[in-house]
Amino acid sequence: MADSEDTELQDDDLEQEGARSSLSMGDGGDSEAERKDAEDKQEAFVEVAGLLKKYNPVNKAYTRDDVLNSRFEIQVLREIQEFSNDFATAYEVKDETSSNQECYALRLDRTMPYRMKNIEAQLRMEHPNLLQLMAYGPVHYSDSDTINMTVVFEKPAGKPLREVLESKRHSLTERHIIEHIIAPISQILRSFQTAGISHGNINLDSVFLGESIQLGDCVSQPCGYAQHFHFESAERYQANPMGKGDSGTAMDCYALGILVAHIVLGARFFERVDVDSFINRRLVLGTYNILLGGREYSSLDDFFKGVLNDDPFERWTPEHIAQWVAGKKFNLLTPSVLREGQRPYPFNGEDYFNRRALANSFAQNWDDAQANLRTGHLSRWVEVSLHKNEMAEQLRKVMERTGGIHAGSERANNELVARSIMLLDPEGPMRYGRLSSYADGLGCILANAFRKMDQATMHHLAEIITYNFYALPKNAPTDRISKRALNVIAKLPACIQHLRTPAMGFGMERVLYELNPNLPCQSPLLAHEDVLTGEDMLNALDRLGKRQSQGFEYLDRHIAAFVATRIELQKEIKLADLRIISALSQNPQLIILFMLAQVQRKAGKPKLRGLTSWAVLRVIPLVDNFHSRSIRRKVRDNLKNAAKSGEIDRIFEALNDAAAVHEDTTGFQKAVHRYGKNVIQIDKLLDKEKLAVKSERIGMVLATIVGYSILLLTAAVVLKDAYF
Amino acid sequence: MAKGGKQKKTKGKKKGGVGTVVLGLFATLILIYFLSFAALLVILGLVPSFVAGYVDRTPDKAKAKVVAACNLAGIVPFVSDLVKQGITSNNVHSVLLSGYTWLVMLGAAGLGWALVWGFPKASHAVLGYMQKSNVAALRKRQQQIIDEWGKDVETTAQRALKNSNFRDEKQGEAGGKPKASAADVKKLPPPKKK
Repeated sequence: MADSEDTELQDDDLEQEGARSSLSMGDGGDSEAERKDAEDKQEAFVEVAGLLKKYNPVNKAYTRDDVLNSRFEIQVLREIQEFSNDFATAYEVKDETSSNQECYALRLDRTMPYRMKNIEAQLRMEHPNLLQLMAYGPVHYSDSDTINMTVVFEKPAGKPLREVLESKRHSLTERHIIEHIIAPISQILRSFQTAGISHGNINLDSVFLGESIQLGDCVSQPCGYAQHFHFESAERYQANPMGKGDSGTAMDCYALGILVAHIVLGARFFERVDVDSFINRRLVLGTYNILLGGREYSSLDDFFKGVLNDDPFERWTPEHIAQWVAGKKFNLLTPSVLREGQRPYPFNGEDYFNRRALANSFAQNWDDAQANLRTGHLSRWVEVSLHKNEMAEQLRKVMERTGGIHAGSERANNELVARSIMLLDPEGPMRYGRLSSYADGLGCILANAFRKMDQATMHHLAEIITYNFYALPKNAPTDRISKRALNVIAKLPACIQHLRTPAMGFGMERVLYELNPNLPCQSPLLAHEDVLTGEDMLNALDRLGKRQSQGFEYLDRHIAAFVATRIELQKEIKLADLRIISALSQNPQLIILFMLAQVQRKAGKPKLRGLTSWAVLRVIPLVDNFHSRSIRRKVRDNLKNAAKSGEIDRIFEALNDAAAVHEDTTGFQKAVHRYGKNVIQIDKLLDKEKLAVKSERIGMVLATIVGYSILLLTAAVVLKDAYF
Repeated sequence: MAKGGKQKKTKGKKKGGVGTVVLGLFATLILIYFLSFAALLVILGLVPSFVAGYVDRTPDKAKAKVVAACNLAGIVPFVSDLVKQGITSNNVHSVLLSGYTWLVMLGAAGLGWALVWGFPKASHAVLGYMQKSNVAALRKRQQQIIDEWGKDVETTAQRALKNSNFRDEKQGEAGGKPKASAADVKKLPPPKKK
């Protein structure tokens, strides 16, 4: 539980903020009105901060520390090394409802996307040969005061198959393998296929052998990340571990074939294999030929031929395996050597007879490939030797577009090699320098780059997305591309726009969340939280409002991008209603708040007084953008009410009060006009020369009147004395 | 321009001076005809007015007129007495030699000068006082505007006035551009806040 003593709002912060605001108001000759305005502002601060201090968040993501679903108590001091991996830490678990059930928990790393589909599907599945996923959800860990997604599994009853094979104390006959290994795993794979998921990690360490076989977890690591290259099919091992994507159960069938091959050939056979030569031979001769060619396995021969087929679309599916286990005969031909052309293509001292091997060699020798492709010999070889005129034409177009036979810029050269490889091996991963990824693997690569702050990889990914390498030509067949990859390809044009938009809610962070719908928000502000949905975000910020002082900013590109993804924001937000006050209409804090308001509306307007109070504390200084002190007072009062209401919309209503905004704008113009008139008038009144001229004129008029009056009066008196 | 105009006017007045002298001579002859010896009293008594007329260089000779009016008011009672007693050389001689006569005539002229000097000063004092109170009222109103709308009002208004060259225009009233008006202030957009 978070220590409230440490996290509660400090009064000192309040005073400092108040003092700061007062200073900012009164720079240079404080008038009484300015002092009053500063006092009013500070009063608003104190009142809202008081609300925040008293507030107790209702939406708690957890009930008890280190406990999942009020049932599984996680022993954080008892780590299990053997079940832990790069992205999950395993702990002993005490099941409070059943003392017989032995379980372990996997605490997932929040920096990588969760395999939520796998987690949810596996929770629903019940199979005796699949480790039972018993529960999942966010757990508050007492050791680090963080909330982490946690998955609880039953403990496997046996030992990893690798240990069993190494001990040589097993008597696994072909019949036993078929009935107790192939049959149950193929059943599990059928269930996976129905649920639309794949395992991606079937190997000697994830399969446990006791009284029966058990398939281990497939939720704690990115699909194929930890898979040994022997267990990866030819089309997948060329991709970076993070960029393999999720290509369905075909790869699991292949891995099952290799697993069985390990049992029948022995693990030592594979240990002796030289990796580089194995890969090259595999691309030229085919997996079946180099592993099992010339050996006789009467019962397993069809199985090997079926699952080790190097074409994923001709490879056996779990359905085929089930039929074969049930006794159906297939009479498969031995896979032929993968030779496409009559004449070889010489590259780097080797002769290549098929495109996939050549593409792999280009990717391995990137700089040499640039020089080789500029000769233009490849398109001729494709045309003459492989008789693929259309592909040759496409290769020529790519070369023309990237500078022809003359060496171009580094970017042009990279584009030439990448596009040529894609044309040669369309089913392989997209390769660009050291990056090699399927479309649906881009998300994991990007997440890993953010995790390691690897700017070079991010830069390369931005280039890959901007070049739109994955774009499919018009009317191109999509039946050989996985649904997940197609989904990602459909998102990439929008991602180009996101990369070009520098505003809050866009940029590389936006691409990160678009490509990884199940990645928790990576904001440093939410390092203690596990935020997967918009509602999670609101609740986390509501709690953060309580935990942090009001000097704490919620302005963060990750939060903006995460929320923008959840509300499917396509264009930069401009607060049109606040356009009259330009400082407000482009304020990034208000833009994030505007997005959060949309999330709150979408979530059914839950009351979030912590968030609104916190936001109001950030917004109060913005009220200074209003000119009128009385309007400021009114808006501050409305903001205080908005903080109490727990509705973000109310904050905008307070700022957006059309009457107040209009009154402020027109009132200010009138005030300027009136002030200017007064200045002119005062200047006129203070003109001494004018005053002197005016005084002289009026004085002389008066003197004249008095002088003539004296004359008339005298004359009148004299005339009266003389004649009357 | 203003200086040139003034010179022109002065020259015109000098030209008209001949007519004034002729008119003066004509008036003197009429005076001698009707008042005979008493005309001497009037001419000698009006000497302060002639001096004032010479000293006052303003086009309308307002100061000289005021002095002359008062001066004449000091002469009229003596002329009236002479007319009643009969205008003889002895009577005129006795009046001219009387100190009282000169005290009254010159005193009246002095009163005229006092009016010419005193009234502009007094009106300057009164107008100055009225203007001060007006300025104070306007400044108070400005402070009220600043209190309500902040210091931006002042800076925006000053900028508006500066942009319309108000200061330059104030000094040259004759010709030139029109003065900054309130309409200029109104046209300006509100200031951008930091």
